[in-house]
Amino acid sequence: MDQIKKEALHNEEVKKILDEMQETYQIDKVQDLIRDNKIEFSYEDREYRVRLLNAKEKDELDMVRRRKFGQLLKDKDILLEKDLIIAYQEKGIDIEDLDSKIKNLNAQIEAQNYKLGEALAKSPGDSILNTYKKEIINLTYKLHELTIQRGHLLEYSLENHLQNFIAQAISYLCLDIKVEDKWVRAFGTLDDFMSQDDRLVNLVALYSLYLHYR
Amino acid sequence: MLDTYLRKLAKRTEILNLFTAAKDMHCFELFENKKDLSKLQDSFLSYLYFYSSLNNDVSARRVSEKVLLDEIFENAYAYYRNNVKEEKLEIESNKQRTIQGVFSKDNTIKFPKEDK
Repeated sequence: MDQIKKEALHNEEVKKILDEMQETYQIDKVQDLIRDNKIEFSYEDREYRVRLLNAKEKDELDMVRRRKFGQLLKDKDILLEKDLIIAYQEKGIDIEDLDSKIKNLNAQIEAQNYKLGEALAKSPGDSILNTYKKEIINLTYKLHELTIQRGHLLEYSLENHLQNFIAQAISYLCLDIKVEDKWVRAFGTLDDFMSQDDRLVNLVALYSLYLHYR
Repeated sequence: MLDTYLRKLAKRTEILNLFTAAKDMHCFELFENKKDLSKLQDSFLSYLYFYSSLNNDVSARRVSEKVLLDEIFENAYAYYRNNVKEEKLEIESNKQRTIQGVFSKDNTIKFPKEDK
């Protein structure tokens, strides 16, 4: 019996050390990501760099964004968010009701945060603090559920299409490749970039997100 | 998860000390780039201000040390503190409005009685 207890304790300690090592590794990675306003990485023996857009590229982005918006507006299969909400309403799905529930949950979370913050300032016992904490976790979980539900319902709105396109365009514009010790734009066109290996496209999208949106 | 690690990094004593020193000397050399912060750097800087202010409040005993045990505690206390500040500002602004009203009533200056 003692041996089993000892082993369980040992396993627990090993897990704790591994968790701590993993955490240290992740924090070091984050430290690398914030060291500069650009992120360099290797992919299939080539050196790439994701960086912030310069003024010229921002103009280029604005131009392609306006062009895409015009194209999307002409497409009869793509509805604006407000029209999609009306279409859902006709099918008995009430997005405005969902919005009001989200607003209400946000207000409840703020109220609980205020109470917990006040309690921390006045130093009461741990049980009160943990009660507020559990309530905040519970409300936040419900809020995430509704927000995800709303996101799925409006996934095919024109605004969402445009937002996805902008994210792709930024990723394409901010990606450089090293050629003979010089950084040059990695791909000639957005289509070229988008037709690359998914792993590369997703990695660039992630790094671009860190630099431009977080 | 990235946010959690960003917070843990900003919370490290050595990083906060570096930040305080940089702030005192009015030179931010926390990053290799001197300008054009990325969004991630921007968030990190916000967390440095956040934890610096939180640590000040803990040192001044305005809040229990327990606040630093949990992200939810940290956020809740920051929310409470900002709201209390806003409430105080609103009271101050209401006081000023009262003074202006008395001043412009009938083109004479009537000073309000001081609060005791």
